[in-house]
Amino acid sequence: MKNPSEIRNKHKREEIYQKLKAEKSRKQIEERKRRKKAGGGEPGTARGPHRFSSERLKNNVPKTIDNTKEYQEAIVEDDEEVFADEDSDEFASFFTGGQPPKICVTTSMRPSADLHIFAKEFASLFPTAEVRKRGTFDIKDIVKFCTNREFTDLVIIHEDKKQDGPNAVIFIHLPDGPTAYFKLSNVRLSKEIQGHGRATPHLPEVILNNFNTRLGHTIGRFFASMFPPVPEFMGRQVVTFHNQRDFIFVRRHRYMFENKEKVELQELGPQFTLKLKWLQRGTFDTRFGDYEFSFSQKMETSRRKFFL
Amino acid sequence: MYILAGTEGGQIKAVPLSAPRSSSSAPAVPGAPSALRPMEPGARAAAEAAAKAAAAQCTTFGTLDKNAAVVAMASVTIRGREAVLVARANGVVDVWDHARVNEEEEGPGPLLASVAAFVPPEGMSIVEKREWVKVVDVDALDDTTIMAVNSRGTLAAITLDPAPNTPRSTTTTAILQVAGSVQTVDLGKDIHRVRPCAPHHRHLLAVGGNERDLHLVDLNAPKSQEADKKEEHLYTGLAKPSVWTGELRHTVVWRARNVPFDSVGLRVPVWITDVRFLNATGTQMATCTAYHEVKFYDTTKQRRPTAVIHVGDQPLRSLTVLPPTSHSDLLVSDSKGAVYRISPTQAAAHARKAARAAGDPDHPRNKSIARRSGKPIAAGSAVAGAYKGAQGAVRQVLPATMPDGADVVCAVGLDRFVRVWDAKSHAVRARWFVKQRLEAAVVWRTPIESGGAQPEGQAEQEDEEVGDEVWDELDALERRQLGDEDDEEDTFEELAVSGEPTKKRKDRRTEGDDDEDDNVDVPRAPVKKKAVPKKLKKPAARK
Repeated sequence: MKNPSEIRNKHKREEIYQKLKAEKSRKQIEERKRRKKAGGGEPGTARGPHRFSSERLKNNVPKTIDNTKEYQEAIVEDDEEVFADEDSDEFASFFTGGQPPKICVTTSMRPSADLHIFAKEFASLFPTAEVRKRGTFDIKDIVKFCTNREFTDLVIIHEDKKQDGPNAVIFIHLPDGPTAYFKLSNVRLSKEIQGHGRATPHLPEVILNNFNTRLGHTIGRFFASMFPPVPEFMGRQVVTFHNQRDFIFVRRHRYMFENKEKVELQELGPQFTLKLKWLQRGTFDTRFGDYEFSFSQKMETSRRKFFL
Repeated sequence: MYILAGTEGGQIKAVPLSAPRSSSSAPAVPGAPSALRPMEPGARAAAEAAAKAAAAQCTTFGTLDKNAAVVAMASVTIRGREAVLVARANGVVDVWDHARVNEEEEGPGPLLASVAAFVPPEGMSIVEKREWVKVVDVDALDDTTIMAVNSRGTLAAITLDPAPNTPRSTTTTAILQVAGSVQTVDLGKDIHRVRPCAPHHRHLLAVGGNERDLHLVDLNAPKSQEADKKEEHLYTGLAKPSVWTGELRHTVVWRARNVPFDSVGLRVPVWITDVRFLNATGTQMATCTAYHEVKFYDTTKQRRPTAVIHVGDQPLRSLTVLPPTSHSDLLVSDSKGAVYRISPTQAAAHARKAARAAGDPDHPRNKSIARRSGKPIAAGSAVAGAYKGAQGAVRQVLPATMPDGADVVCAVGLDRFVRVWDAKSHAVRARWFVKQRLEAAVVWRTPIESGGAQPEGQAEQEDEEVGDEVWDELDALERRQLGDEDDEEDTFEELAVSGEPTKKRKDRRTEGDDDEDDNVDVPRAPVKKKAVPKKLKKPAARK
């Protein structure tokens, strides 16, 4: 049968296409009725998964981008050499040396009121962070000041247009750590979150999900080194950095165990999404520094290839 | 044929170039963009298998020590044998001969000599010490001497002699050691590259750095030949191959001049990151700068650059000449992963065409407003393509000619990959993930047969004529190791090793079929075997 989109006559085309759609939908309804008759519902429904539907689901696993990823050879598996390399990287002072983090959060120049508010909320995510006004200092100068005052990290939240809010974050590890530039999106303050809770000063636990490649390990270690190493479990607070398809979702929750199997989550604090644009070796020097990773459209050779 | 890449952890990764298989999968249909092709079933598994096979081909030499990070490498001939100089961030320069491998665990490996080229004098602060010790460039001045330059600008010339207790002088090549004292000369601060005019005039050095414009230093020349800073002093080069006299004389025989002030009257800054000689007499050079320029110089014509090409907008890190034989095109790499091919001949052809069309308003070439308003022709005409794929700064780009005659371009960088492209078609030829950031690389032609990380069972090749002295030394070494269990560093002082210097390993192997007998006959003191790790240990720095 001819593909209905090749029919030139619009009325005829519409007619045939609608017939096809109706036929398809009728078949689907029949199939559902048949399944329901055979017994069992869908998992998650009141009737719960039935042996037929669970078999069907097992055989019909849909292909998603996540489970059809291209092979990424930079993915770290059990590798002594990589672990040794990581143990002596720029974050070794935190992981092996036990140096506690001290973060300075600042903004781009002439911040809007909203940006400053977000900066304060962002800083509340990290227990040892403080917000400083930017003034008109150059980033290189700020790096020097912070190094002198023994900060371990400098975070600069950047906005382009005041009405659009923050759109980028620069993380600079001090004294000569890497500089990571992330695109920031989907920023929501805690008051914008439905049913949000209020964060307490307890040290949170940190969850880092899906940082698989060597570059992902570097970024994951970067985030991990910004929190005090030993959390206060009494506070039941957790900050999650969840990487999926190179987007890092940052959330803060308080968890509560109802019983041994069931956990309730209440979202606190700000919520935002990060995407790594570039990672530069050394402190901020975009003109003359060397880049370890610099995203460009040329890298996007496939929809199924990811770098973190 | 191999690429030896020096890593940030101080190790050397050897990656075979001749293998046709690699961890990259070449697209079956060259034209179709891969994003639009559906994934074939089994494609992922095939890619994984290919990558694992490629990774298995990589050999690692050395132990991981970030203090001894490799900063520069050079492929030289020392005492008649091909060797690789490895300069490290802690001031140590190693001489490696990868054709001579680590057959037994206690045996000597590729490391011929390890020289502490820069020892910080007393009374320096930590930061100063780090600067003093950091080697910037390394190469060979002649068959016996290597030179190293540190970030303070001191050039140290270190003569290497064979180690003293070598019983057989004719058939023995001993490990090298430093002879006499190290000569030094000060080249000034902020030097980034010192390149000798290889292979004929190694005493003629091209020197450049941050706000240090290109100048030629001739270590042989007397002070009378020094070029004046003000005058237009030209340099005719050296016609006949010449040898270094042995003295370090800092005679600047030619200085470059900066380009004229730019259109707003500002001085154009200079920051040379790499230099190459383009001809054998030492009169033509090319430099690449951190201001994304490639400059060509001809010392016989003028002091200013004869051409300036702007390439991209990132600092350029490394420059090399391709193909290695005919010096026609240049390869240049920048700090974000781009590798460009610069073709001065193409630029000249474009310039000729433009000159022919100049002044004729009806010529189709003069359609654009830029041309008509008299602006300089975009330098894009000199860029003859790029080699795509690198994700991070490419610290070293190298040309190589494969055994089958194909020219390839190799790049090594901070994205932890070694990449090889076909020079002509720009297609990706191979790609290896080597897990550490890479700083420098050289191409190594002689085969490396059993690498340093091979399992014990495979050590079948042995050196012929292993004498008693060797076993005594090895026993002494083992006793020393047993003595201090915690000390991880071995000292390979004066381990005499027999082996023919000029013969390749293949020849030696076919020759000596009575290896087994040799081994049995040699008396060996029974020593408890301590578990010595397979990888070669970096020896302690010697003064």
